[in-house]
Amino acid sequence: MLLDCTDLSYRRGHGDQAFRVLIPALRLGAGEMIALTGESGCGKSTALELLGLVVRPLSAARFHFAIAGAPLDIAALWRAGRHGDLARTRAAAIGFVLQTGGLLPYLSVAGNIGINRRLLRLPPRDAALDAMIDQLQLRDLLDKTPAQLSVGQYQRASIARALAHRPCLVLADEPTSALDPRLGDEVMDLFFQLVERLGTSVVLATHDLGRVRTHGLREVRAAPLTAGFGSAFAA
Amino acid sequence: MPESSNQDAPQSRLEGLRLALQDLWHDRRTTLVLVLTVASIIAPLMLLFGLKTGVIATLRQDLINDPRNLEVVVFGAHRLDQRWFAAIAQRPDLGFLIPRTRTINATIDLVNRERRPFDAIDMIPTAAGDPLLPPGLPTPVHAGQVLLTETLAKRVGWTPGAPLTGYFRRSRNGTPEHAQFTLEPIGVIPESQVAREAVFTHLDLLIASEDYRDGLRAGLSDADLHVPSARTRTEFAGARVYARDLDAVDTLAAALRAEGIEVRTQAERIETVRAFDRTLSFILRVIALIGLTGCALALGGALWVNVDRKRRDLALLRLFGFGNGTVVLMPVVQSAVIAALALVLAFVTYLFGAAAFNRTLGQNLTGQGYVCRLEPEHLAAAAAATLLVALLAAVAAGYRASRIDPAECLRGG
Repeated sequence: MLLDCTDLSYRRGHGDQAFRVLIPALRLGAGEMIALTGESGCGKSTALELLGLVVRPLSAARFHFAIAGAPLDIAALWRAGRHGDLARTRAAAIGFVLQTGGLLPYLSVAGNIGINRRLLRLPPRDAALDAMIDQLQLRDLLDKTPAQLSVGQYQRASIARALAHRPCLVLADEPTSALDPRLGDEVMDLFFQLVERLGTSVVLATHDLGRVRTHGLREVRAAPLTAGFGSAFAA
Repeated sequence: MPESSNQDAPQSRLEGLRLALQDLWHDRRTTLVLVLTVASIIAPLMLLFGLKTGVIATLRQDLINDPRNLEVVVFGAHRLDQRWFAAIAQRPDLGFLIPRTRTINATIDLVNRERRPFDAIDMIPTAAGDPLLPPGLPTPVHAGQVLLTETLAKRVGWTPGAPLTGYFRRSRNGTPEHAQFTLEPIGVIPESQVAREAVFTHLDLLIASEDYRDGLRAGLSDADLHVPSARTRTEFAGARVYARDLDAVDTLAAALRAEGIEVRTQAERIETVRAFDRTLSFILRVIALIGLTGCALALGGALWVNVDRKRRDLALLRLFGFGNGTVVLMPVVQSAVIAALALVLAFVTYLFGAAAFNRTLGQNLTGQGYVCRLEPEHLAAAAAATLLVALLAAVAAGYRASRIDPAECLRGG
């Protein structure tokens, strides 16, 4: 099991206005893909932040992440304030695809794609990465800067960046929301082809239920909390 | 599964350093503006310090070039024994020391080849290392050898190789007597060194003069001048004392005064230069403090704004797994690079400015003829101060960067 969490919660703000996100139970196997769905503002991005080891959970009865088969107690790392270990885990095991790509403007496409590989001291390129670059049609764009890319090219480059270091989990936050539907479908098709081939687990935050069904994703839906302001994500 | 998880802090820092430099290059217009801003503050400061250093150095050099400023003049007649001379000779602030006899006995009458007399010429004892002698001039090795000052040599019409006849005169029981001997002038002391008529002699000649006038010698012949007598003398009435350098004049004079010896120095001239140096240094320190504070604020503000402008990029780096320290390091590195580039630019500007000052104003000066000059240690200090200011300026930006939450780039969409 790649990800195993129970009663994982997060709170933003204080008092009556506090917004809470609760994940009562979530298990994600290697190569499995799930979709966090719900209306805009329901806390999908916050749930991704929790699962992406970006924000400290308010509570976590169990929060394990398996790297190379060895379970890592993420809750314990947060409690111990081991931010370096959390950052290292994030760098090695998680890839992020953001709504607007999130490429660094001062690096070329090649530089952006290779940033996590350099951080992990991996060779700049390998055959699998070259194949991915070809599949995403980025070969001719490697020397360009993000500002020189179209929206579709930009998003394809950010997918390559997220997968280049072969993370075991990719967290994708509405990755095609900025694209027109036809282009969005093309990019998502490429994305799913790649993660399936690489055996990468995916947590996709989206409000596009059609896409969830099309790609046969297991849906984890946001439901309003019975008490207070916020959402609970449950299958 | 990840292919590797060997990411470590040094690698993160190294990559952060690379990214910081790439960001600077990508944003090169902003970088250039910051470099120019910092350089425009540092360059005038370097020129001001260069002017101060150059002017003070010129004044100091003028003082040093005139060895009379190093002299601690011993007044009156004393009884200075060999132990006193040995003790003074051990002092680290001493530059030159030679005994001298009573002033009343330190004159000589000369006669040139045309038998023309020149009476009561001052005799000054000298030896190797005498600061009044120009480098390369030989010193008398026995009492028969003398050095003439240029003004005296002109007056007696001395030509190289020509001997002079010397006379010491005395009165015994009302009867005038004199000793006559031949002197071999071995060189001329330029007027720039000693601008008066005098004979620089071996100490033995002064002792012989004193002994003869005091009636301790029956007579004095050419042969007597080759017999050393200084070692047998145990006490002297005075001494020619010179400090090692300008800063040593005060301490040496104070040491002699502490022994009850009245001395005089060119302390006033030296103190004037020192006071000028102190005043200029204070003024420049205030200007530098204001300038560097302004520089720190300008650079710090720019870096702060830069961090704010790029906080999403910095948040991305945190999201990708770069450590907090790496993200903090980036504005610090950028600040240091901007400061280093500004320093180079300021130095080049300073070189042009200093050359212009020296060309136009240097001719008006005596000595080495420069008015603007920084020594390597001054440049090193300028570099250190600039980098320190840059690092201080980066502290605020670094703190700002450290507060960036990696979640910002997710929430921002």
